[in-house]
Amino acid sequence: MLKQICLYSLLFLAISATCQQDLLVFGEDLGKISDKLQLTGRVLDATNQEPLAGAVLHISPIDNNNVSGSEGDYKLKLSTGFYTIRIRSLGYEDYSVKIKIFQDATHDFLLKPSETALGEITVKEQRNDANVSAVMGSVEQLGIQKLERQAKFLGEMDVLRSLQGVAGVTSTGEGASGFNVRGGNTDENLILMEGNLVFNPVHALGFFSLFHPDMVQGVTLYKGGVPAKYGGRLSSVLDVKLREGNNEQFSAKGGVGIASSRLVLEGPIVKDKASFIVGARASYVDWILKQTRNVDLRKSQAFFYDLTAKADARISDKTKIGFTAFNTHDDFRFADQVKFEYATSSGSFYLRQIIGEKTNFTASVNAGQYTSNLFDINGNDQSVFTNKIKFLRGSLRAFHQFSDKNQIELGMEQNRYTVSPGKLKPNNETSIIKSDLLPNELGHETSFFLQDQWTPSKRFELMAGIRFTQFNNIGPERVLLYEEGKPKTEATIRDSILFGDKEKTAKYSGFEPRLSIRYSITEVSSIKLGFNRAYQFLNQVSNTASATPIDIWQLSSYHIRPQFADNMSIGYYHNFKDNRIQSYLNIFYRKTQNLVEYKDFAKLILNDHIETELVRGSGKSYGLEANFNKAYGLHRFELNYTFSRSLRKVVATTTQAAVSEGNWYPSNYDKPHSLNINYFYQLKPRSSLSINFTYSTGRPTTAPVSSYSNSNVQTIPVYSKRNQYRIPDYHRLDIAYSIGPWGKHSRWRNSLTLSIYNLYFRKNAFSVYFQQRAFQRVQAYRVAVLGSAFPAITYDFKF
Amino acid sequence: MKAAKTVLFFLAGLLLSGCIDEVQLDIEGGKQLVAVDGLITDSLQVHTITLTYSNLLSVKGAGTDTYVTGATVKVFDDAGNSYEFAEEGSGKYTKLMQGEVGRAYHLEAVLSSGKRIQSSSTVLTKAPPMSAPNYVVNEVQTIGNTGQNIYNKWLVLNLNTDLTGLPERPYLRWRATGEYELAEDYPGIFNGKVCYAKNNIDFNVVKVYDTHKLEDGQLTNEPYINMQYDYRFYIMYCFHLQQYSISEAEYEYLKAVNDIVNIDGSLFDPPPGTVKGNLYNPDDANDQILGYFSVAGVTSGRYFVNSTDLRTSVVALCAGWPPPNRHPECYDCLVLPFSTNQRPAYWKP
Repeated sequence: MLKQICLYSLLFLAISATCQQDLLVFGEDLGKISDKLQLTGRVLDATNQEPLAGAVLHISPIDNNNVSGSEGDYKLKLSTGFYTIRIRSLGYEDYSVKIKIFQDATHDFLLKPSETALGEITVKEQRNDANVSAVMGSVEQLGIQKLERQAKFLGEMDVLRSLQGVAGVTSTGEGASGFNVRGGNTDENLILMEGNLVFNPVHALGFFSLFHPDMVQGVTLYKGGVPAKYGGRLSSVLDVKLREGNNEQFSAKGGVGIASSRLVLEGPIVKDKASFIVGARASYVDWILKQTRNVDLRKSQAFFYDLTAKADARISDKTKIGFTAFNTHDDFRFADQVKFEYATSSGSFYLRQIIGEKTNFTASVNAGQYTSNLFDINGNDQSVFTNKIKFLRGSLRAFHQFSDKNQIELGMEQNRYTVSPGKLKPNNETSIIKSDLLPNELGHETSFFLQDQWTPSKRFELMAGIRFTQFNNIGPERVLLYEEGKPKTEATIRDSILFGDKEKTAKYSGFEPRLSIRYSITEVSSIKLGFNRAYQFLNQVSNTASATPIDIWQLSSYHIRPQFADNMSIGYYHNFKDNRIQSYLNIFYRKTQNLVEYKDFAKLILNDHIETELVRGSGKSYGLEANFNKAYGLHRFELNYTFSRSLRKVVATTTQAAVSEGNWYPSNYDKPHSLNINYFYQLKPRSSLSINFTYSTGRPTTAPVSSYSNSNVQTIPVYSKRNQYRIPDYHRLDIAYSIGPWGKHSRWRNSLTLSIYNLYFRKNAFSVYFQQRAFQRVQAYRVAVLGSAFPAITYDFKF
Repeated sequence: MKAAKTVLFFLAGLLLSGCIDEVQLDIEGGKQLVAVDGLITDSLQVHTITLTYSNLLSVKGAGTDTYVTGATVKVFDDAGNSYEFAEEGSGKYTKLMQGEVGRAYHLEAVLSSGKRIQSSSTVLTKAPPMSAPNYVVNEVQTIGNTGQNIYNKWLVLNLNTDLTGLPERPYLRWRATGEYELAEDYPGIFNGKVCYAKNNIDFNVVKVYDTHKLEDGQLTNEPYINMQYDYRFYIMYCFHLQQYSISEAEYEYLKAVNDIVNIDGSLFDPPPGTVKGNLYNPDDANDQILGYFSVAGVTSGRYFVNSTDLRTSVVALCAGWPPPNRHPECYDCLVLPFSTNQRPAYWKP
């Protein structure tokens, strides 16, 4: 007995000692290898030893998730080896630990509540030096707790709005579709949700993102130094991970708000082996619209829903499969003037196989489509214009760990895009409109990648990779030929080539080098370099000032060469106070070639020779990002500042006219200064306050400098060079007060969030337009999507 | 319940409190450019070409036209004929002439400074005959500040044109003026004057249509004029409609002008830019010339309608009695702008 106590004491001491180094060792390395080891135990509240049900344990590198049961119990099936376990539970600090396991073991993990009050217990945050020690710079990771700390619009945590608080990320304001990274277009972000390609990540004109807040486990945004496994977009990669369902017991979580409600159900399919999680969300703003005095608003409609489902199953200790599917729909109508709708359907499947001790292999497929409809609901020519993109993607990836210091990843990816660029048809029986249809376009994108992560010393780490991408535009297609040395217009069409079925109409390829280097100056400071080249073969074609949900997607083609960009960054990372205060300073530069710009008044809809509306140019973005994050204690504070410029240049050639006389001009997303401050205060154990402040320079606009009239019918403005002026600066303060969860000792847990978006009634301009009335000077008018504060109350529940 | 409703109104008001208001932007720079506004048709009439300078918005007092005087303005056809336009003042240059269908015309002007302006050549195409329009009176509901319902009647004039049998579908443009009959008192009771007053009803609207998108060649019920239905329709209203067959280039120009004039800050606004017409300086490719020299076939018609035809009652302007309730034009209808008490020869009997 004494011997056992001594052994346990020694083990405890060993664990305690290794804890300081974030390493737990279970058993001794006797040279035996087993693939049937079990690590069991419970996840407990560190303050009162209460079991924590539903805590997510993520095990890497095998990328396996496990959820604790009703008594906080967990059971991990592992092979002999080295792992990192990351544990997350709502209302608790993230916990991360490295383990080495050589024999079956039992261990309880203690999580510290994030709601600990002053005077009750002093919370010591976990050691988190990832900011300094990770090899990649320009990467932002937002876990669920960080997302939860943002002030909530309409009482709901939102991934995209939280991302807009990150240095280097902006949007064109309320009503914008998507987000802009380091001055790039919204279509230059690769957005993935559990491997599903997302073309439009927003609901309700950008007020909500389509990621169900109760299903999100965390998001990673790569602003630069993008790993070789990602490709196809110039600016960034946003990878959204959903959590796995509880494989022990059934549970539900949801929220009821004034404009939308949501629900998540989860539970085991086969206990301990397979689980599901299903989420649904729907808006019901119409009842509010009906209360207004404005007749147009009473006739208006704003509705969205989304359904997301995920299932994961462990076939064996080394084999895991899973699928994710989602369906979203948005419907917006303003009186009898405009109506549009857009929808996404997508599904993905993966198979992950562990081979031996240090290798895993993942195969995945993803298929889906994005559709948008624009309705003309006025007059005798009512019509509906539809455009659609379908995609089918497959990838094979292998990961091998040579040692703790050297890992390699390689794989291939195949994407097939079918774009239906436009179909016009009458919207009712009395419409006089003639149907029209542009032929489908087909593109194949094939990529191979190889990447090695090497840590030769504690100070130096390198991740180098190469990606080779080839794109083929596939027939049938009739390609128009234009007179040599003349601008592409209808008048200069001289001939055409007819490409047959499955014949390649255009072929482009290129290598994309990727490099990330980290050099640690001290244990709490490092310098990181990042470089990546990216090709983009799929562009959003838009002739509006800001991207809209109905914009068409255009493949690279015979006449439209792919864009490519080189992203470079260098950053200094420094942590203070035992890594509990983190900071960085990043300088970035991006150069873009073959950038697609539009002629004034480009005719993009139902245009079978869209190349006549486009001009080609180059772009550059550069800037500085600064972050300061106090991530511990009752008062938490994060500041992000970005100085950024995004410029374009289109010079005159024999085949195109210049834009802005061939000089550099600001892109639509050029916002030199942006500042985001997030303050979080844990008032009491179960109540917290969060405040967000956002400021950014107004985005560029083109303003009239003179005017003339046509037969006294209209006053026609003459505009300045492109984007020479700016709309007023954007700033906003949001506040949220959360109470709960209460009912901690019962199965039901409730919480309430009161929030006010735009607290001080700022009328932020979505756009500025100009009008000149007879015998008056031209006047600028500001259009504010939200002209007032917006309060909301949301009741959340979990059982 | 009342409190709940108040909360609802408050929330709805906040949710939908997006608004439009004036902001100050300092606009500087720009230069005065020459703008041309000209039209040649196949109708024998006095044709007018107007030359002005654009108004710099950075200059105080901007908003009034600055006219181009002392210019030589000529129109040439592809048969070698030239038509010199005489200066009439206020930047207007006029000529009595008639274009010929199938002929191409272009403009050449030389300013007193020696600057030359030319237009591209455009073939005059025949306009299809107009069919009679039809009318719809709608009752539009609005809600006043105190929540009361307010109903106004609006008349919509719908265009109709039969394009079947045409060898080629045209691009169409319409223009319209209105004229109405107004009696100082109830006719036959006090025997006051009767006036005929013209009013501009297509201000800020350029109506164009691409007939290629029509399924069967019948353009029917195409909404054009939307005007308040009021006393002007009590006795008789006359619409003067002109239908022009314009070139595709002019159609695109006018469509772009409509887009740019109607920018209202919405999500679907096109990025603003300067609309380019068919005019240029042959000596300086970078010299931007504004406006358009239009060449078009035209058909026209006068269409009469009143409240009896529309079977929708309307109150006469001068029906108020006793006199303090009456309008000035009910004592002297000639105070109406562009009015006459001479019955036009074309007026419906």
